[in-house]
Parts: sequence; structure tokens; C-alpha cells
Amino acid sequence: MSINARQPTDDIDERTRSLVGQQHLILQRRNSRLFAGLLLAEYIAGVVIALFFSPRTWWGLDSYVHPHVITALTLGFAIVSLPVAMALRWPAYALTHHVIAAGQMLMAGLLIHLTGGRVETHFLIFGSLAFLAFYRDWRILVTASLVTGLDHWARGMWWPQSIYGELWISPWRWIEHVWWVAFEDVFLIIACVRGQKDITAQCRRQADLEVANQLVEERASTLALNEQRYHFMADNMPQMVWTTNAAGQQDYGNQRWHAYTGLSQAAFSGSGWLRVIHPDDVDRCNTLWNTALASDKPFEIEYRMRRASDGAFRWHLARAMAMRDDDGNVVQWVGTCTDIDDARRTQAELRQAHEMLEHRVANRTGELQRVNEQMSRTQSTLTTVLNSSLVGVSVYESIRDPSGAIVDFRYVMINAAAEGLLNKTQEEIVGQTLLGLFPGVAVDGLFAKYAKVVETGQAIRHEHYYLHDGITAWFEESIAKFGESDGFVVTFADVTARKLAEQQMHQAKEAAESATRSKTDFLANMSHEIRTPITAIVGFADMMLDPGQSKSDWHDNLQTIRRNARHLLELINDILDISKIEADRMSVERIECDLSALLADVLSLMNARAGEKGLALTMTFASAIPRTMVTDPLRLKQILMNLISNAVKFSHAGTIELQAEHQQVDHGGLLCFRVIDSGIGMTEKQIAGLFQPFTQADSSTTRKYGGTGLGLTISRRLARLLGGDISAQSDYGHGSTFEVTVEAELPADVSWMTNIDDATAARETDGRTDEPVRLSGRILLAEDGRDNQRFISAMLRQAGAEVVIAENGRIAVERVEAERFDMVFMDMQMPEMDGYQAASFLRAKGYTLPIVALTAHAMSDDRTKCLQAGCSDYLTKPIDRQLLVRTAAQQMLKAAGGSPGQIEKRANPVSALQQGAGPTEPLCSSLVDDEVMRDVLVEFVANLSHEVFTMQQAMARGELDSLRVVVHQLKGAGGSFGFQGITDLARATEASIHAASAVEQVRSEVESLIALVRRVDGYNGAAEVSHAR
Amino acid sequence: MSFKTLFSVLAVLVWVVAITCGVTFAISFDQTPGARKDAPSDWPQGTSIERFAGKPSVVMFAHPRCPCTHASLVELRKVLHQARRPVEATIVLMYPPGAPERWTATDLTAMALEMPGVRILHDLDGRAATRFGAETSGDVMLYSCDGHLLFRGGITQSRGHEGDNPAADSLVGLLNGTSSGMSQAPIFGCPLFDAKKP
Repeated sequence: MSINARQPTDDIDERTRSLVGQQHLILQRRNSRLFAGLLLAEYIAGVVIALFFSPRTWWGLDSYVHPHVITALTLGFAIVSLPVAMALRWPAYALTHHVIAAGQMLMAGLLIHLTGGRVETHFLIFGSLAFLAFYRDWRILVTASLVTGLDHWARGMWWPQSIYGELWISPWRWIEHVWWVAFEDVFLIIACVRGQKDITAQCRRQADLEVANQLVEERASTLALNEQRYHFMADNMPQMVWTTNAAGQQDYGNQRWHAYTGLSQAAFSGSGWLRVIHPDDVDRCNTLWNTALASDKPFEIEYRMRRASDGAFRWHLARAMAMRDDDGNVVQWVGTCTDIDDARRTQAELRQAHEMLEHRVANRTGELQRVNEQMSRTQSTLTTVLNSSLVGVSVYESIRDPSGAIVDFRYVMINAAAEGLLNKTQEEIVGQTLLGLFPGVAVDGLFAKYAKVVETGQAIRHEHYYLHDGITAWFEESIAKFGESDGFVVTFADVTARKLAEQQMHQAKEAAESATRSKTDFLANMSHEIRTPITAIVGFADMMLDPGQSKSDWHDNLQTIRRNARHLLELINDILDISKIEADRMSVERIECDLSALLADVLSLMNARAGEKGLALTMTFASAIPRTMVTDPLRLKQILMNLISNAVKFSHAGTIELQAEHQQVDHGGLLCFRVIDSGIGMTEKQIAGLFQPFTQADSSTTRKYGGTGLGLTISRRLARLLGGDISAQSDYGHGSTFEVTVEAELPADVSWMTNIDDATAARETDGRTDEPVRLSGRILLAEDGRDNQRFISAMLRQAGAEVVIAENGRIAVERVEAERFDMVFMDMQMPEMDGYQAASFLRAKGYTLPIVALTAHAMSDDRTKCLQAGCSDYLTKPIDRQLLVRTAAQQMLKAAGGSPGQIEKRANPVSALQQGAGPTEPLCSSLVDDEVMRDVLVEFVANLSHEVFTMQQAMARGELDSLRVVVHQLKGAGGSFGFQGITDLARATEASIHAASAVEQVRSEVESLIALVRRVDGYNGAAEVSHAR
Repeated sequence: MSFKTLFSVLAVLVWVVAITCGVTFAISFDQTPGARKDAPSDWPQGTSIERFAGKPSVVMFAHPRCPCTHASLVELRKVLHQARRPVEATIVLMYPPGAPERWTATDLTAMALEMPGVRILHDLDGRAATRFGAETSGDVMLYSCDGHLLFRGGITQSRGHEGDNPAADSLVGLLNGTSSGMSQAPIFGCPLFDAKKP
């Protein structure tokens, strides 16, 4: 209801205000109209009074309208005009009321004036106020009173007879009048307020009445509407609706009820309704109904009711509920009867159908389960096949934009192989997009290929190199679309290994072809290099076979043959090294070696050669150098000697510096050697080809300086095998710097040296000496080569040994078994039984005598092979004479139970050179190619053994004068015959003798000088021995 | 501000101004004295108005139809009533030439006639008024017993308004001998003569 939308109190207040406003409006309009008439009446009265009392004024016989009449007409009009006009125009306007009040009071004042200030006329003022109180607005009274008070005050001041009718009045007369006015105002204001309250109260009562009436009307209307709705709903419901009184007597049934039961309202009222209940249900229904009535609880029952139209009893569901008043008392029962006969029948049929359905569902479920199991097995099989496949399988679906263009693909499935190939798990991939996981496919065109397969439906098979997203591999892919769907499958396999194999095969093929070309070039070079000295050897040998040759020619030819043979040997050694390197069969040792001794040896060997050319060889340390390190000392020595040899070879003056430095790098230590010369230098182009085989700075270099051109190549390969490298820098015309580095693995207890003196001192401490050795004992030489038999046996016999020759291994074995030998030199390549078999056989027989292998094989691990066969030591051909003798001495001494040091005690007391060259390096004269000097040079060399003998004798006897004479002669002659090193050393020795230095120092220097002289190419050691004898 | 309010306020202002003007007009009419000429200081000779020796003579000139003179007659009656010795009082009613019949048959004449001891004279053509220098109705003159002028003027404060006023009090004082000397007062009333006539 709308009345409920707001509080009735609000409505009453609002209505009250509205009614009060209306009342005020009515009052104001009525009063304004009243005052309009009153003012007009007063106006007329004023005029009438003026006309009555003084209608005309006279001027002799002439009369005129009296000014009082004019005043009444004009001033009166002026006074009433505005109030009357406003009262008629705006009767309810507040200002109108105040103007009326003022006008009324002024009009009263005018009438008083017109009546000559009569006191009686003053009552008009009180009357006017009373009239104005009709407005029920005390503010109007205030205005009127103020105007009157002002009028009285002003006229009392200046025109008293006009208002008071007297000329002489008290100055306070106006106050008296005003007081009376105020006195009346008090009552009138009280009356106004009360009147206002009365109006408000009256309006309030009226508003209450109106609201109450409205509520009553609305509720009555609602009630009627509700009843109408109730009956409409009840009559139109499919159920039967009925009501009873509190005692359970039925008093209402809807149309449906009457139509179904056929009972009239009269027959149905009370308990008449029981007549339509099935007799079997009546008792039950009565019982339940009485129970419900007694307990006031809802009533519900199913029973059968007779249908009037055909007399059939149909099942109904009856329900009833008690309606209660505000006090909770039951006032009525409302019930319904719903026909459930069809529902019950349908329910029964439904139950039957449900049972049938359950049965069918059970059957179908069984079938479905079987199919599911079959599908599960099939899927399991398929999954197993996919996951066991080595080929990756990925299934994608296309992602298209609104225009239908493919923008990406989403992974639907991948197998286990794909997980491995893509390096991601199935959980990481499935559901993700291809570009999201592998953005690289957009770059390398793979995405476009996939899109093409989806768009065209044509399968693609290709190989693809993927180098993005953390994957670097070759894939062979097969891409095929799923029928008409928007998905496709990619099977792919990693063929990187195969691809790499193909590439390696290709590279190997190219390398092989390159190697073949290199071999051809190598052989061509070798042919030339080898043929050159052989030509000289064969040529001069042929010349020596000529019986007409003089002894001098024969000697010259022999020297030439010897020199070329040595060159050929050097060449062959280099070729063998190169061959090993090219065959990748060059191996290096890793043994702890004495670096100080190694450097001392190198300097000792190369200092003499440098001295021969007037060059100074110095050694400096850029940092502290380990005294010992793990490397291959022979190869390192070979490298250093090659570099220094080159420096000497290509320098004509100045110094050669060997600089050593230990560098600590990330992976360990490096030992760095720099050979700095002041030689001819090289251009950039020459440096570029420097490390190629058979390459020197240019072809003319070979002719001028000699050499095979293989040295730097070998040195670089060796340096790399030792964990380092060689590089070269050069200032053309001013010298070169070669830097070699090798890996410096240091032993735990390594000590350091800071200068070359440390190295030299260490070497002296070691007490190593290179002395001629004398042999004593029987040696079996197993050698099939006749020349070698003669050569080797001669050297051994010269050293004092008794030599027996066996032509092959079998004979050697027989001789060992038959005779006693102190040791055996066994050539390893012999007919019938080679050295390996013979050595093995002898060891198997229990022979313990030393067996030293002789072999020309320098290509492989022959040393190891020989030692494994039972050999005690190993020598390579060509045989170095002193090495051969020393080895023999050591092995025999070892077999006899002595130490190597004992050999030296048995040998001649010849000390080593302080910085002299080793015994293996011949000292050649710088005049060796001078045809003019050749003869005198040979004679000089031949006499050197005598000089050596003399010095040894003088030293032994302490004859310093004799020693000085010989040393002085060597000083003068050495340089003259091209041996500057001998001159230099002799000069130093002579200086020591002159200075009466310590005997040990003189002895050391003399021994160094002797050692240097012994190294002279062509020096006859045998003659020295003969002198000794 | 709405038109209604603006108009109302303006109307009220105009209204107040108009009322003020009207009041001012009324005041000026009431308080403007009439014209007069000098009265003879001694009772003039040859006048038709007879003077009785031994009594002071009060002469009032009145227009028989002047409504304002009613108040002057009332005031004269009070004065005569307050006089403690015999006074010869005369009201001279103006009777101008050409005046219609019953010119003097007015309330004022009746009122004058009812005043005891007062002599009523008709001044034909205004000759007496001319002799006495009177030009305004209500002009009162008091001559002493020996005929000297003691008082001259009106005995109301304004036109048509009765009530105590100094002029009447002065006249009473002169009559009773409580004051002496010549008194003058303005005269409020209708002109006795036409405007054309002086």
C-alpha cells in the first residue's frame, strides 16, 4: 500500500502544514479584501466628513472647494490607493498585509485630522488594530503600531491640533497614545498566537482525519482486492481449495471442488464433504483430521475421492494448515486437494521404466567398459610405441587470428623422444605455443614450412639445422597434416652425429688430398736435398778410387765426403723427425729434469760456435726460473740449440741473448725462452713462411748459410708437443727475436734460480764431466751390415774392448751360449733372427748380461720396444762414437756391480769445458771452404792432438811454463785457422796462468780448452792416445 | 528579487512620497495665516459700528460662510466667558455687495446669534471691514475703554482648529487686565473679500 511507503506522522505533519497554509491563505485573502473595502469606505467617509464640515472655502462672494475636501480626496486616495490595489492584486502577499496595516493606520490618522483631532476618532485606531488582528499575524500589528506611533509622535511635534485637537499638548502625549496602542497590541498579539494555534490544531485534526480516512479507504480497497484475488486464484487453481472454521466445519469450497464432487455449497458445508471420500479411506481421514484439529498441526493425507462426472474414485493429496490471528489462536483452516491419480499411475509406470532403463544401462555400461578397456589397451600400446620410438613426435594445432591467418601453433602432444630432443618435459611443452617456446622457428623459416603444410596439406620431409633457443642440432623432420583438420604431426630425429660424421669425412678427404699433395711436394724437396750431398759423396768417392790421386787430394776428398755425409745425416735426422711429426707419431717424454744443467749444456755447446763467429752469447733471466721441471729435456734442448744455431748462423756481429722467463698463466706455468739476435732480420713475408718445411727466408739463404730448412718446423712441432709454441718477431736488417714457450710442470719441492751463475754452479755441483772413456772386456757385436761391423768394432776396439762379430741374431745367441761376453751390441734388424727375437730368447734363457740395442728405427717407440724385448739400453744409428763407448762402459760397469761414477775414475782425468761444447758437436773452422787454407788447416788440426797431450802432461806435472807456451801458441793459431773460440778460451787461460791464479782455476780452464780442441772437426783422438802411450 | 517584490517596494516608496506631499499640503494650508491690513490704533471715526464708552470693545470680522471661522467663534465664546468684566462684543458678518439673499443665513450666523451678549452686525459691502483694515474671516480686534487698540489677530492656532492658543489667552489677559500692551496674532480663515478686491 502506498500509505506504508511513508510514516503516517510525516503525512499528518505535512498535511497539517498544508492545511495551515491554506487557512492562512484564506484568512489573508479574506482580510485583505475586507481591508480593501474598509479603506475605500474610510476614504469615502473622509471625503464625506470633509464635505460635511467644510465643503467649501470662501473668498468674499466666491467660494471654492475647501482644502480639506481636496486633502480628503487626494491624500485619502494616496493613502488607500496602494493598499487597496495590492489587496486586490496580491491579497496573500506578506508586504500587502503590512502596506494595508500602514495604510489603515494612516487613514485613521487622516480621519482624525479631518475631524479636527477629535478624541472619539482615535477609537478608529483601536478598531483598526482589532481588524488587523484578523490576519492572525502579530507582525502586522507591529507594523501598524509603529506607523501609528510615528504618526502620533510627528504630528504631536509639529501639528498637534491635527491629531490631538489641541494646540497645546504635553510633549509626552504621543507616548500615552502609543502606550494604549501597545496595551491593545498585547492582547491582540496573544489573540493572534492563540488564534494561530487554534488554526494549527484545527488543521491538525483535519489532517488526522484525512489520513485516517485515507488509510481506511486504502485498506478497505486492499482487502477487497485481496479477497477478489483469493477467490480468483482459488477458482482458477487446478486443485480443490476449501476452508473450515476453527472447529473444522467446512464453510467454503472453490468452483473446482463443487465441479468435481458435484456437491452444492449447502451439501458440502459442515461434514458433508465426507460423503465423497472412498469408504475405505473415511476412517483414516477422520482420524487424521481430528488429530490435526486437536494439535493445530498441518494436516496431510492421500485418499480417494469420487468424481461426480463418472463416479470414479481418484487419488488425491489433501493438505490443510491452520490460520491464526495476532494472538496465535486458530481462526480458520485452509486446505487443498490435488488430484494425484495420474501422477501415481505415471509414477508406477515410471518406476517400471526406470527399472528397465537401469537394466539396459547396466548392459551398456558393461559394453562400454569393455570398449574402454580395449581403447585403453590400444592407447597404451600406441603411447608405448610413441614413447619408445627414438624419433620425436610432436602434434600441433593451428592458432589463427580473426582474419583466418595462422599466427602460431599449439602443442597437443609430444612423445618421450621429443622431450629429450627439445630438452623440455611434456608438462612444459603441451598446451604451449610453438613461437612461445621456440621463437627461433620464426627466424629460420621452420614456422613458414609448418604453415605451408597446414595450408596446402602437402607433407614435407627435410633436414634442418636448428641453432636457436639453446638447441644446436641437425634435425631430419617429416611434417604431415591430419586430414581436413587444422592440426599436423611432426616426426623428427637428431641427425647431428651423422651430419658431423659426413662433415668430418669431407674434411678428412680434403685433408688426405692435401696430405698427398704435401707428400708429393715433400718428396720432391727430399729428392733434391738428399741427392745434393749424395752427389758430392759419390762423386768424391769415385775420385778417390782413382789410383792417381795424391795423398793430399785423397785427404781433401775424404774431408768433403765426411762433411757431406754429416750434412746428409743431419738432413736424415730432420726428415725422420718431420716424418714422425707428420705421421703424428712423435712422442715426448715427461720426466723431471734439471733445467740448470740443460741450460748449461746448451750454452756450453753454442757458446763455442758463437765464439767462432766473434759473437757473444749471453743468458739473462727475466724472472726466477725453476731449477727442475717436468718436460722432455732432449727435445727442449733440441729446440733451444736450433734457435741459437740459427741466430749464430744469421748474425755477423753483435750479441745473441738467450732470455728465460717463467710465466704463470691460468692453466699453470709456462717457461718462456727468447733468442734475441742482432742478425740480418726478416721481412713480414719471410716470417710468414718461416715455419713451413724446407723454407728459409728465401732460396738464396740456403745457398749462403746452409741448413735443411726443417729446423724451425721441427722446433715448432716439438714446442707444441711440449705444451707451448714458437713465434718470431723481426726488424729487417737489425735482428730477430724467437720466442719459445713450453709447459712448465713443476715438482713439489722445486727451487728457483735467478741468474745463469746459479745454473752453472748447480752443474758444477753435479760434477758431471764429459771425458774419454776406456773399455775393458769382451763385447759381442751382432750386426749384419759389413760396414757397420767394421766401423763399430773399430770404435770399440779403439776404446780398449775385445770385439766378436755375429752376422745375425741366431749366431749371436749361439755365441753367447758358447762363450762368455761382458755385453752384447745387438742390431735389431737382422736376417734369420732379428735383435728383438735374439734378446728375448737370451733373456728367456736367463742371461743377464747387458744387451744394448742398435737400431735405425727412429720412427716409433723403438726404445720402449727394445726394452720390452729385454734390451738393457738403446742406441740409434748412425752411431755416435763417444756415446757408443760411454754406453758400453756404463753397461759393463753396471753388470759388474759398480756405479757410473766409477767409470770416470778409470778414465783419464780430463775435466769438462767450463762452457764448452758437448762432445757430439764438431767444431768446424770458419775457413773450411777456403781452398787456399785447406792444407794448412788440415795440418793444424792433425797437430792438435799433440798440443792436447802436451797440455795434459804439463798439467800433470805442474809445468806452468810449458803449459803457458802451448796455450799461447793455441791462442795465436786458433783464430788464424778459423777457430776463434779456441783463441778466446786460450787467451783467458793464459791470463789465468799469468795472474798466478789458483791451480784449480787454471786446471779448469785448461781442461775446457782441451775439451774445445777435441771437438775440432777432424781431431784425431787416437793420435792423442798414441801420444799418451 | 522578483518583479512582484521590486514593484511592491517601488510602489511603497512612491506611496510614502505621495502621502508625505499630501500631508505637507494639508499642513501648509492649515498653518498659512490670511492677509490683513493695519488696524486703526484708535477706534475709527465714522464707522457704522458703535462703541460703548466705559467698556472694552471686542470686534470680530467673520465671513458668514467660512467653515474655519466656526473655531474662531468657539474660541471667542471661551474668551468672553473668561472675561471677568463687561465687554462689548460685536461680530461683524461680511455682507459683500452683490451677495445673494440669505447670505448670512448660515450655521455660523446661527452660532453667532446664540452667543450671549454679542452683537451681530452685517457689514454691507465690507465698509466696516475696510475701515478696520480686516481682510480675513476671524480677525479679532480689542479696543480699550478709551478706544485704543489693544489686540489684533486671529484667536485660533490654525485654520478651523479650536483649542487653547496664545492669542486667545493674550486676549483674555488684556480683557481681565492681567496683561497690558498691544498684542498681535496671525489670522486663520477665509478671505473676506474677492480676490479681485483688495
